[in-house]
Amino acid sequence: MAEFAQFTITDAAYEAASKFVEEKWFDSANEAGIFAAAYAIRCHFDEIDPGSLYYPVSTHNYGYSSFDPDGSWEIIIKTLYNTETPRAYFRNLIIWGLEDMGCRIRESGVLQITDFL
Amino acid sequence: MRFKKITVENFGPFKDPTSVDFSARNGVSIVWGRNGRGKTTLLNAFNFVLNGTVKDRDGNVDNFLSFINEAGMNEGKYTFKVILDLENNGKAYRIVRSIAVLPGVDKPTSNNHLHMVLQVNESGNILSPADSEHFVKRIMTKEVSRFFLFDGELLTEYEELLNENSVRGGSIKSSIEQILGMPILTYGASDSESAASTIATEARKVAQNEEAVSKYTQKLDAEEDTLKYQQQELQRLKEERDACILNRNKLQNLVEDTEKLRQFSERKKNIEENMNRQHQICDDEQRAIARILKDSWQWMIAPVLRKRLLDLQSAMADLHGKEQTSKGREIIIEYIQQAIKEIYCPVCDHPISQNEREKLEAKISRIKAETDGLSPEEKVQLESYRAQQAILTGYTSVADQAQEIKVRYERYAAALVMFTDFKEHDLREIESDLEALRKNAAGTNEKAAFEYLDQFGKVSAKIAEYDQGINRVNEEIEKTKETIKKLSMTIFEKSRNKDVVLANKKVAFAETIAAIFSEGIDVYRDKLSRDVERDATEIFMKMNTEEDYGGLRINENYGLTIIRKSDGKPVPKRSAGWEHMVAFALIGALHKNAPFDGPVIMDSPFYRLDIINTKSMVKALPLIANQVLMLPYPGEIDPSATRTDIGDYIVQELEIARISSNESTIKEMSTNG
Amino acid sequence: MKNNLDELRSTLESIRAAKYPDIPAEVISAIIDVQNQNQNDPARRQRETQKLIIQYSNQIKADGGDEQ
Repeated sequence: MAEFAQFTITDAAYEAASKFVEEKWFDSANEAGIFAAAYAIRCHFDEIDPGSLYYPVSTHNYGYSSFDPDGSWEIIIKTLYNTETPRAYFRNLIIWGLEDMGCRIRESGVLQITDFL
Repeated sequence: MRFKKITVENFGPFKDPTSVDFSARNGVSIVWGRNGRGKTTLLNAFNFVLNGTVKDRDGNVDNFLSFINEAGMNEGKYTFKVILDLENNGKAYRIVRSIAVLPGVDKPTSNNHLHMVLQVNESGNILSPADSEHFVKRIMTKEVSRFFLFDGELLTEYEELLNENSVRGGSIKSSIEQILGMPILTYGASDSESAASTIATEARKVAQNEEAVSKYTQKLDAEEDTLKYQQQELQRLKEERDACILNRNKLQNLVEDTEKLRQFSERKKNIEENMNRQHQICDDEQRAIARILKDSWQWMIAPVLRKRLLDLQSAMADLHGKEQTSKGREIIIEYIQQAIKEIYCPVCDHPISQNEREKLEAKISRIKAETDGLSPEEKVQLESYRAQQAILTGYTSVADQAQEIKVRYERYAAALVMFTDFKEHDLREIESDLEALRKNAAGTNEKAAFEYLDQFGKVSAKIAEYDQGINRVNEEIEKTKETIKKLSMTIFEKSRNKDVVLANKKVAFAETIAAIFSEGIDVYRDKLSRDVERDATEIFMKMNTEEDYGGLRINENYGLTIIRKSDGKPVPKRSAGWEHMVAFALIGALHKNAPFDGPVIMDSPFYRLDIINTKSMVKALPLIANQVLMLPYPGEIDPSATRTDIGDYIVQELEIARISSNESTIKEMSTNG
Repeated sequence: MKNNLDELRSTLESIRAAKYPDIPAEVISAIIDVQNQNQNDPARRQRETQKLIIQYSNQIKADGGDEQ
């Protein structure tokens, strides 16, 4: 079954992504989102079950291919999580990663990129 | 010259006539006065009566209106007067200088409503206005008066004397040479030269008509014209250079006043450069990090993928083992089946009997029964694992770059902190300092401060050019004079006119007098230097409390350095207090070597000294001049200690007593110590 | 304390006596006085100095001797 071609990210996730772009660590929210998903896997793999996460639809709409242009993520997530809905998992990882980073930035008061490595 | 009495009326805080009477004998007169009672006004009174000038606390010169006593003003008295009785060369003089209201003005509200009146009485005879002016100027010129009438702060000017190249140093030097009588020699020489020139001109007029020398007189006329032109040119150059010097002096003040502005401006520039450097580092490191981050997801998730691969490997191990075992058994079964089929055992290498055949078939059944092979599900599972392994392996061969990011980030963060410190702290501080400076400098800004420096440099270069031009013209003048002299000699030798011969003898006479004065300049200057150094050393050593200080050494500008006993070298940077004492010694030496007598009046002279040095200086007061008038405030020096230290040299002690808030008087002090 | 023109006079007198003995000592001394008394009046100073020199030079005779 083909998954979605577009998806939205939450306001909190968007805010976090914008902060990264504003402080010139990334050129776009997409790049920040990809980094966020990688962060979620690298640092919180065992804690997160992307399949059980739910995020409401918002106005921040993106094309899936803008995050995963060559489909690598889809393949990796499908394999890693043994899921038939890798895009949904990817989206959830993106949102979770961005929201989590956003939360930490708010708590510490400063965006320190090395905190997420 | 001896001062006998000064009387002030309606001047400063002194409304009614009040006097300081100088005794007939030499010594130190002390007038005690608290701050604001009128001590500095007394100093101003001397300056006014001798030089016709006053200076208020704000440095404003000749604001006469501000010196009219307030109480007197309220009573309708708009004038003030200072009378100085003195003795000079055996004659008694009374100098009366006053400020009066111009006719037609009821109440003066500005200095334009006032005018000055001077009257000098010589032994009972009133001198003419011209002679009065002449007399007052003669006894003490403005340049010379700075060595007789001064407050402690003026001593700081003498630090300039140590700098032989300073502009102020040069002008103080000429004031000192004036007090020591040098102008007598320098002008004596030049005035004698002028006299020679005048006589020579007269002689040539006579010689012009003599045929034997007419061609020489004609040449001489031409040379005289040339000389005239050269001297005009010299005069023009000197005037223009002097105008430049005046301009440079003004600029020097401006340059000195704005020195801090420039320094702070440079500091601000440095801070901004540092800021920019750190900002650049921040930018560079951040850009490098951002570049690494662009494709970072692969190496970021690689550790998780590698762990997954390890898990897969573990999970696959059993299944793989099982698969391998199963494969092994199948090979054995294949061998046995082949042996059964061929009725020949390849292992034992002999035919198989029926019995053995049956045993082998039973073995195959047994082997098949011990089923350890992969179940279909397990086969599928193993295939799945293998597929995952193949996929994930492709994404794990990337090097982790977290460490490089961390290193770069540290550099970025350090640079950011430095940038912020420069910006929020250093830059703010310097900008605030600059703002304060700009306010105090009344509108001057950094641009103007650098412009003053630039202009100062240009004017100084121009003065140097003028000096070169003046030197060149002087050389040409000397050549022309030499030519004129030779021609004059020739006329003298060839002329038969006895008037010409006589005139030339007179010219030679005048020129010889000029030579005597001219040669005397260097000789006298050297002698003066040695004498001033000796006398200043004597006074200084009487005040000295430092074990290692051995004496003073003089430079070309009459500046004095303290010489150490231990190595004979000058003390490099001496404190303000010692500066004070050296300057004091210089004053005393100048007075001792000046070709005229005069009293010294000092207002608060001890403010830079500690107790010990103050005591030393007080003891040395009688050495400075025949008459010393000291104007200290109580606490500046100890009254009873002073009486002990100066002893019989104290002529009198007076005090400025307050009558009301705008009126004081001078009276004898009650000595209760 | 020393406060007079004697040093100056003696300096010039040494030079005069050693190198220019034909110049009368009085004219040097008189010029010193005129210079000292007119320090703040250049025109008067120059005029008086010139007068002195001319006055003394008038004592010189044409044949080489002085009128004394």
